Amino acid sequence: MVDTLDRPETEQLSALDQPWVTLVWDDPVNLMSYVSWVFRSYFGFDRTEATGGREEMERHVEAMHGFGLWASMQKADA
Amino acid sequence: MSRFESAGAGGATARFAAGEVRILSDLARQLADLVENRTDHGSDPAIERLFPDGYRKNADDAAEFRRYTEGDLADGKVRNARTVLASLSGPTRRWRTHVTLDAAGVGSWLRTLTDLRLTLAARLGVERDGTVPSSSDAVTRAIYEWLGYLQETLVEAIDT
Repeated sequence: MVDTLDRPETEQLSALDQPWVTLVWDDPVNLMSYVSWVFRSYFGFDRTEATGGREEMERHVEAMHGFGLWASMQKADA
Repeated sequence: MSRFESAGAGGATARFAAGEVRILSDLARQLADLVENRTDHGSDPAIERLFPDGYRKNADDAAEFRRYTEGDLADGKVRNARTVLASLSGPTRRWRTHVTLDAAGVGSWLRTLTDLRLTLAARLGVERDGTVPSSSDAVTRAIYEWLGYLQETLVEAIDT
């Protein structure tokens, strides 16, 4: 059977000097291979950190929703 | 069962049987209808998942984000579904429909397959650990699994 992202973890894309963070939530439906492809094709790398302020995080969240990933953003210290 | 193969330059190709073309076309059409005719959020778990909150801790921020992004997001989903539909009306040889996708077409297919799986998962009541309830409709379940297989072969095709 196909692999799904079934581990209880989130991808955290953050920057130390920025107050906002984008979270891509674990979901039981999307295939791990697809999620990997999304990160590589959109961010240019697989599962590491991105930098940016609120507007940039909003763009990331919007793009992730376009890929069908479940992403949201919040203040990094929240 | 048909699968995607690499066509080079980020493209992919597959040969679908008539039954597969019919199911995929029906689903793509239904997805476009579902997105276009969506009403208020909260009444359909599929719509809720296709259009998730951008902020989970602040309802005002979430509403504003939705106001700015939902239209484009919906347009994109409909456009991708229509791209899939159009690519399924290609030439038929030896009872098979040949579908050849460039990199942009692959992007549309991957997104539409995702939206379809998310929608079917909501209908099936897929649990947090990915378990599909055995009491759910067997045909829908089989289609859900098949779309996952197809998507897996498509990611593989462009990764090699």
